[in-house]
Amino acid sequence: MAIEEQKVVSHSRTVSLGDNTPALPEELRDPLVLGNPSIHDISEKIASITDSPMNLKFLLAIGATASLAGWGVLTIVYTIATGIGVWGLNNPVGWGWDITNFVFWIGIGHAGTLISAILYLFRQKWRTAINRAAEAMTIFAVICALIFPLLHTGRPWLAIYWLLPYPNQMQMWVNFRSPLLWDVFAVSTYGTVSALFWFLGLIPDLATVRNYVKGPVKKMAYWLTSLGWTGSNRAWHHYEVAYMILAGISTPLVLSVHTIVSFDFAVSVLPGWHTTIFPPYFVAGAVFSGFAMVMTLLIITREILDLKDYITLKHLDNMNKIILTTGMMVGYAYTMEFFIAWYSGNPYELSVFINRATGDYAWSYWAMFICNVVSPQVYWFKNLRRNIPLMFIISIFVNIGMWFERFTIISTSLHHDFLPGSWGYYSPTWVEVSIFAGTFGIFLTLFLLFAKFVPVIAISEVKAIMPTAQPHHHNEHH
Amino acid sequence: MSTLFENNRKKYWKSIDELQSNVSASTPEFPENYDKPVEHKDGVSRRSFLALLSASMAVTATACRRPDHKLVPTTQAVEYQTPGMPLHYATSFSFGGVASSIVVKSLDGRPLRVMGNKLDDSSKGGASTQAVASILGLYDPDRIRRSRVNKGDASTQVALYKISEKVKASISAGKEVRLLIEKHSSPSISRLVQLVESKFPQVKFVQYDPNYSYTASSLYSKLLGIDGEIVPDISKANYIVSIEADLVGTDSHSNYHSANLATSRNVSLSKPTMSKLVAVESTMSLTGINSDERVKISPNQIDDFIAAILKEISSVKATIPVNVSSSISGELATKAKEIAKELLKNGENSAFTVGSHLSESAQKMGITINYLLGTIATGKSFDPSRVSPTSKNLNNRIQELVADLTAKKVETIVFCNVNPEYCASQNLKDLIAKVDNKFALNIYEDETAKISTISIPMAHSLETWGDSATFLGDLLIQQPLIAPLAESSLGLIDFTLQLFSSIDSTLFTETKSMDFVQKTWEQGLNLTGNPFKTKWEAILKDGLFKNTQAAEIVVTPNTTEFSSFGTFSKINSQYIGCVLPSLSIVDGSFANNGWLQEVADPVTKITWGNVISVSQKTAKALDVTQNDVVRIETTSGNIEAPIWIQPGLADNVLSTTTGYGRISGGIVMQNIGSNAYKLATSENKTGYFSIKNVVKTGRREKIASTQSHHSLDDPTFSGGRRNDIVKELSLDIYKKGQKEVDAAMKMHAPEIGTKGKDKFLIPLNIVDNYEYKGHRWGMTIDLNTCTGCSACVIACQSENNIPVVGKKEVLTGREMAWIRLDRYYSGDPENPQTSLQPMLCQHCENAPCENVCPVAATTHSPEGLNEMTYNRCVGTRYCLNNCPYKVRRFNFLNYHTEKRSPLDFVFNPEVTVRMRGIMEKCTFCVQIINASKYHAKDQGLSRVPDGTITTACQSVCPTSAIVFGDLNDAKSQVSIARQSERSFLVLQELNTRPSVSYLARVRNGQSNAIDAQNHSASKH
Repeated sequence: MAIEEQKVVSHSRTVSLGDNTPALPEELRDPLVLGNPSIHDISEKIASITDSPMNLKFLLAIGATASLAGWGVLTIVYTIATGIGVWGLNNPVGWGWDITNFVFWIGIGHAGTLISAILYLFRQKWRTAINRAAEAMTIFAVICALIFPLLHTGRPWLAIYWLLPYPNQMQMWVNFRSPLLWDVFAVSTYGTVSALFWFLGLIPDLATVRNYVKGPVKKMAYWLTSLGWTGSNRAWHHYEVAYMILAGISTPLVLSVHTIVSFDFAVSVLPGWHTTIFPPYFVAGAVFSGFAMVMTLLIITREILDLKDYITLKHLDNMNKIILTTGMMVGYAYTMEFFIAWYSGNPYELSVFINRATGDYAWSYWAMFICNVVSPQVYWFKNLRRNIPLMFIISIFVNIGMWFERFTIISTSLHHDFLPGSWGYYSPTWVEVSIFAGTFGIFLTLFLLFAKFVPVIAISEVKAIMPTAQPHHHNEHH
Repeated sequence: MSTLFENNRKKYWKSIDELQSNVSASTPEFPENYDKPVEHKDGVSRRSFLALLSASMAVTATACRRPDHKLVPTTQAVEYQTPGMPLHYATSFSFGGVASSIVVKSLDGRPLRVMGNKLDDSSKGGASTQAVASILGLYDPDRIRRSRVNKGDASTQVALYKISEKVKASISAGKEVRLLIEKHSSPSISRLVQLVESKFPQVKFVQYDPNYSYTASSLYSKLLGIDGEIVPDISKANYIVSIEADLVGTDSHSNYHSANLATSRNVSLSKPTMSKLVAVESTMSLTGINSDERVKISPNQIDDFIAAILKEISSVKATIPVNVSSSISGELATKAKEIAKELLKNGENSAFTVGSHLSESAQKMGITINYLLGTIATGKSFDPSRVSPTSKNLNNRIQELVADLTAKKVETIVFCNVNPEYCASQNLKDLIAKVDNKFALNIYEDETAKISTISIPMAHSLETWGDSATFLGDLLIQQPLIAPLAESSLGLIDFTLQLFSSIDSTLFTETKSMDFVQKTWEQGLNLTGNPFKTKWEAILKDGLFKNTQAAEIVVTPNTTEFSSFGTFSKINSQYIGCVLPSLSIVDGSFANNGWLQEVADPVTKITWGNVISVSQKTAKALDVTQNDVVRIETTSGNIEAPIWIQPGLADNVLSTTTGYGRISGGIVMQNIGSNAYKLATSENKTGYFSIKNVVKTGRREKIASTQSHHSLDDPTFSGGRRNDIVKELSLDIYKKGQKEVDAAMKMHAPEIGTKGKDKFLIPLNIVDNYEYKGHRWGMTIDLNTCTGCSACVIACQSENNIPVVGKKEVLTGREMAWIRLDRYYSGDPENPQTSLQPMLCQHCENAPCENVCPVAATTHSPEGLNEMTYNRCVGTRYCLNNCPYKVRRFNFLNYHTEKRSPLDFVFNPEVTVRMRGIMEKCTFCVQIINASKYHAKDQGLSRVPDGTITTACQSVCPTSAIVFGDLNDAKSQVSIARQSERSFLVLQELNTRPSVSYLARVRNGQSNAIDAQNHSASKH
């Protein structure tokens, strides 16, 4: 698009409909923060959210999500007390909604790490407005995800520590050949690093809030969590180094976690699982679903918390581009799986894939395909990429589609595998549905609490990308 | 084998008081020297089940009953017994008058598992599903425990006294007394009956069996002067025709027929011949599945079809004048001609069998065909000396009973382990209702016990003395392995002895069933004095007395009888109903047995209930789909059951099974299926009948089938035919020699580790193979002899404490059986060929399950077993997902929740009872392997000799299709079988290297699977 068409008014308060392509010099791109707030305005805006009283809207919202979470917890207790027979799993289909939900939630988390770590390393400034929320989402998603590998075991009270390699007098060790064990390491590392990364990034902002809030309890809480942040040059220096290191550590995790999760399937002998395409396919899928979830949450957050100037259409547009890209990547994977199933000459694999598209679970396959591959195609058009209601719908579609992707992979491969004599069918019970709904309750409750009590936008980072923070060298880039 | 017969060892006799003092509370839980070699002194171990049992008896029993005679409690140590070591006793199991000798494993006085007795030629070392499952029946908490008079509990003495009062009153009033007993072949019961009936002419014993037809035996007597129905020996035949005779299925001698069929199918490259089994049927029976050729026929055409065959045969073999005509035409006429031609070709080396539920004409023609062919002769397939003992003397007194009841002659009726209130026709039920005194000696408080004023618990066959005769003339002994669990229960012999001796104390010289049985044998075998005692010990050890004097029977045909075969009756209704016995619970006697309710029917794979089977076309005509509940209305009654679409079923036939729809008698049987006996018009129970109306109810009911309909060449398999899962050969290929056979066997699967002909399948190993230095256990299963009887499934369940999960869980797909029988159809869905394949843990060398368990709960043993460590399992189910054979079974819930005593005694203490959240699967009966290893070690052997280990499944297989042993021993049976040209491994292209190999089935005739193989081979 030609530069002439841009409304280059970076210092004005008018909303630009300009492009943000890297081909443009930075000054000519859309501003990352609209309304041209002052540095103080930013602190004021974000910190005030944490200090304002809880309004009815918020209470209603958190009441609803907490009730859902409570129902989820009740059904979890019911499952543990009775046995996973209360689910619909059976003998050919040993995994169903449980592992589907696990992979789904782990995938959701990926956007956070990608935005916070990889985009940080690539100096993508537009990330600052959304990285905090995305990282929080990662952690909450990992929490939700972790429920399932534990809960799906027959005896979770033993699985909770038997899956860890701890020295014991019986010399009983875990089986290092099992992908499930790799999962334990991968996911726990991922969870830990994500939490640290998030918390580290929070420290300066918590200090800002500490200085802002008035109540003694709140003040104490923020004082404690900001770990005595002074904002000194020295502190900033250490902070920047630590942040960079953690970003470096997190980056491979974006690839490793979902790669290892995909090994759960790829390492098995099952047709439909045993495919080498899984690691990249799962990572792409994870980023895809993660961005969709971030999108869903941000659209709501910017509406409710009135952050339209901070989470701008430019951000959303960028994210939609990523959704379009990763959506086509998974689309490619879906197609390639079929090609390989035919090309390999493996009759079992071909049978599984034909069964996916035409068999008992065809509805699930086509739901996945339409949601993930067809629906993001609208993002080829810029005006659609910037259409809030549409992108909200698409983001929900993608969330649904990606859930169905995991469900399709798990159920269709298990229910019809090698020997037709063992074939079966699986459908979930109300308990499984309730637990899944419950994890949404947990996720949303945590997110609402986060949005209320934690600076929902990285104040210090946003300040850093404000034009006022930039040296005004119009002719050179840095 | 040791004996329980301790009659002459007076030192073992215990009074109740002594016994009670033995198990006082002060007895320590373990004897002082529990870890030392055990000397059998007084003192109780906690395992002494019998003693505890007797103690509870001592606490509650009134002093007046059976004070002087006990089985030996383990406190007194039975001969040979070492606590914790099982003993094996030979006894017999009888059902419907057909008995087979069984060996029962007993641990510390507790019967645990039923096995076949190899000495018994009538069962060929096999045990029926019902026999194996009878162990569960023994410990069934729903059995009656206390006698009942009217509505209150009473002692058995009081109940017996009250019955005897009424019987006495009826006799003195000149009224008739009837005892309805189950069909039997027992010489002792016959002697008892004779003693009672000769003393009291008004008392009559009537044998009652709802599924038994006397047509054949009366025909044999009328036509050939043979007393009773001949049990054919199909191993003598090269060409076997079964006209709806479900020889290996519902036939009461199915084990014998299965074993004989297996013998006649023995085929090798040096002897490429085998018998041919042709099944002509309208329903899809187990025999049809096992046949080499199946001819589908409408029920109305059966008589004409046989007539066509008879006509052909009689035109060649005109030894007696036969006057028959057939209206059959078209394809079936050609088929009949073809069959007749083959029959004539094989002559006396053939067998023509006709189902007992078919018309009299059909059966008469069947006997005629056999007679003309010369098969009814000594040493041939129909040996006239091999007559079913229950069919002798035309024991059919049911018609008489109906007449007497109608004439209101009968005042008192005693039901002894029969349930006419459930299975009799409405007419008989109404007549019974009018009888003044009704008493019951039943195992359960069933429908019949409910209508009886006095009920006494019947003892289980493992609790009482008895005997039986087989059609071979052998006598089988039935010895108790345990004192009656319900202290007040009585066996039929004891009941009759006590009842009639209280009326006339001089009637019997013996007061106990044991003495009575012994006396019968002593008289019958004509061996008195000391030699008998020695003989008796030997009989108890073997479980049977072999009849060595084969009777030469001269057949004298009554030529005039052959002139007419009657008019062939046709059923004129649009739809024809068909009722056949259930393969598992038969006439409902086993309806409370969870093992039998849950074992899948080998044909339909349905558990927990009956269905109305129809063909695809009929379903369309009726406008119904699977699971639609329809009501069949006949003149005698209606039933409602869900529709099941059964490939191979004749059109317009609605077929269902008996035994379901029981109303009372236990918890297990509640609300399962519907009672097909309601459709019976007379006391002739099974077979075809006309249907007045078929009504759609609009309801739908889920059918708990363990396998869906999938045939090997089903298009839903898409992407490739899977014929290498179940390989089949045709005899023609076999005749061509090794090269052809090898080519057919290796059609799809290349050699592991070498470059296959199909270049795309070369499995790689990234780890070294296991080295097996000692034993390496393996199994082969011969698909050519496996009939799918499912006894192995039950035996496995019994040995390995496998839970019953119930209909709801089966519907979810959580049945727990460690062996399942996969059934595959191929070819024309209207008349498919069927292949069966028992599938169990393959104990892979490269086990996919072992790699993926995160806690290493499933590991490889140095002897090649794929082991499950239950304690370690956390239940991720990853192993199940990764098992290509899907043979792992997960305890989704706590399935062993039934806490009612004495059900917990059915558990094998050598096998862990698994809680919820744990994976399980076939262990190759590792507990039996280990016991054999210890035993071999004790004997100073370095290896377990071949043949000493018999896995549970193997121990009941009537056809010896399962062979287990050491693959490291090149001379072992299993190694030899594995080397067979028919041997193949399932899914070997996955490089799992299974320890279980299968031997391909050989069809004498065309095999769909072979054609499909050639077809798919040509694709590459």
